[in-house]
Amino acid sequence: MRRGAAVFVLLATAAGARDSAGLLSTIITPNEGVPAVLLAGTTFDAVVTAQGDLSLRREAETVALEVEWLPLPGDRDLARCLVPENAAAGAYELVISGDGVADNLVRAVWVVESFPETYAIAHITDTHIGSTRHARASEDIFLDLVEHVNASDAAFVAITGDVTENGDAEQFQSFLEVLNRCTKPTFVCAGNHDRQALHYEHAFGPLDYWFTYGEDGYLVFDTKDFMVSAGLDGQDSLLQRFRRAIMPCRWRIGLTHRYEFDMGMRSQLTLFVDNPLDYLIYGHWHRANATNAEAMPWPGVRATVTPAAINGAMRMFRIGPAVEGAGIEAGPVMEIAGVGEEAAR
Amino acid sequence: MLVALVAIATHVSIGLPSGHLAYLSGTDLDDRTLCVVDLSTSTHQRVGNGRRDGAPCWSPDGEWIAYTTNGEEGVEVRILRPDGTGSKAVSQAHTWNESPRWSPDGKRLAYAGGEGLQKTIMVYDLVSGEEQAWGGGHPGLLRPTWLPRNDLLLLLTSEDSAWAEQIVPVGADIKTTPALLAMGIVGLPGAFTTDIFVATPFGAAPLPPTVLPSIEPREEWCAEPAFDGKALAFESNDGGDREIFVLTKRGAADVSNHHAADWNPVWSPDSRWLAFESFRDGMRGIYRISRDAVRVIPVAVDANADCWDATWSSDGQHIAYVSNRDGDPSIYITAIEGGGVEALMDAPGEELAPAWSPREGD
Repeated sequence: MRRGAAVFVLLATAAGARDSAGLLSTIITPNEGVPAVLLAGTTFDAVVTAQGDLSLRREAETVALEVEWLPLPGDRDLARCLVPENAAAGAYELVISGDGVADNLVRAVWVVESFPETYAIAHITDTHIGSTRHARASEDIFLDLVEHVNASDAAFVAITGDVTENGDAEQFQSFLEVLNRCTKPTFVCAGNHDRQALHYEHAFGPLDYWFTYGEDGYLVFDTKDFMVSAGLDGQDSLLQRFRRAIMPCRWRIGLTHRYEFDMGMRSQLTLFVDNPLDYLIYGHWHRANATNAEAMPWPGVRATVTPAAINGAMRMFRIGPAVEGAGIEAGPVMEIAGVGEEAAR
Repeated sequence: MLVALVAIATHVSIGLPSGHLAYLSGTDLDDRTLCVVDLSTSTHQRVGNGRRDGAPCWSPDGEWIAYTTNGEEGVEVRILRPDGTGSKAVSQAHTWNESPRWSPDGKRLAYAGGEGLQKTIMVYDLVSGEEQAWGGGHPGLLRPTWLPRNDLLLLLTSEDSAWAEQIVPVGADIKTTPALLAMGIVGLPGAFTTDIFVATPFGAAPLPPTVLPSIEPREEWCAEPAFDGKALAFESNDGGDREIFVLTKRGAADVSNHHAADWNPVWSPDSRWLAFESFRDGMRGIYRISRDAVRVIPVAVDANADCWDATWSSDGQHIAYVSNRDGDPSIYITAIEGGGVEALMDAPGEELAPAWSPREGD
């Protein structure tokens, strides 16, 4: 049995209550790919398909949440959840229960003691779970990267799309199983390889979202509708509002799978022109960018492309105060995992 | 295939006009299909290719609809009759094509063809069946819109003959030269900006900075000439955020002026009003303003949902738009005077990109 497969069997018993196919059910967000990271005594928003009692659970400990319910369009509700001041730092399972309602998601909520002024983030992209391009299983390659991240000082991990080889539901399940080995919060977005039916949405919920980490704002967006009439479905509305939401932040950083000039011009004007993001981090190319202009044609936005995880690579970024115009530093490409026969043995 | 999907979902209390509305319907991007509804009978017909169909654009006489759809390779521009007959591809030279717009006389169709920065303006002649690159093949041109009249060009060329020579041969009659506007991407990678270009069969040139709100480089977008040809609406980030400007012979003026983003200007058929989208009340809403910018009037604004993609009825009395107020994006219709909202249909899936037939009473 392959090493990765053995791990997955063990994990199956510890995973959250996604349905039998690994899909989200009552709790949509936060989840393992769109977590809430916050201080005790502050709030996070949960999107659910039915109202119930919400709590955090960690081993034998349960933390009840004070909830304010707000309406959302469609058949969903937003729960604004206050984490008690005395909640200990750590990763929590989010639990909802009530009349006919029962769901829980592991690694959905992370309570931190503080947000450091300077911190590191790990960037993993293009895991292509299910790919057979290498002698080594894609899950094993991804697991090596996750274990490297676990041993690092990364505050969280950004995983920017093409998480699966061709968007099969089973591939998303395999991805989730490795993802849940990560001891850091993991923020995920979709890539062009993840488009098959609505499997990505069923696994992780929103295609676009934003979050803050301390003073910094992150805007995660989807460009999988590359080279089509983008913006018809209202994504432009979200990007504009999300961009405004992170406007006051120290740094405004975009995370996406793919940026190319052919993405919708409205999105580009919003993200890179009118109130440009400070930095864009993405993948898709399976190689690093040589220059900033190669990765980002608009002025005023720095951009870095990280090579593919399926080829064993990842990158760390260090985020800190602005010093002489810097403050977001891309580390070198790190070749972490072997992909060939030797590594497979 | 003629299918009466569902009657107008709610009562017809706002007095819906008769006419035809083209729109996209689907459960996902991959199955988006061009549809046409006859509002007087609530009969919906799927007429498009159904392969990632793009936003519809009616010919001025209401006899044809142009749209983009996935072809064997890339994206092609196709035209068809509102009943789905006569469908044919018109784009030829390029694999990737987008943003079709009809000429005011309905005899030509302009669109952007090519990939990335190599996109240029292509024009298909419906009489000859030939496709031609306009603007001298100038690269980096997107989103064409036709100039109904050349009043603006006459004004510009009378003041700057050197500028005129970039778009028409010396001695040519600018008054009778067909012309369109396009959005141009200019500058080297790492220093891009946008400009409004004028393109003719002979050449292309950006509007002189002297006619724009300020001579500083700004990023303009969505140039939309009024149907009477006497005004040009466009977006610019002049002033910091995105605003709607209107250029007339008196100069350019900021007509939407708000610190929230304002975008996507759409002229009413009589050219007296502009509908546009704004985030001034939090969510994306639709507003209208007179050409003289006396005051901004909300048209479709929802505290908890977005409203976008406005299209005017041919009599200018109604606006159809998309909103996610009930979950999935769906099409709603409101009356300009008196308000009231009707859902176009009550069916699962998305309805997007409404376009009202321009033919009066159709």
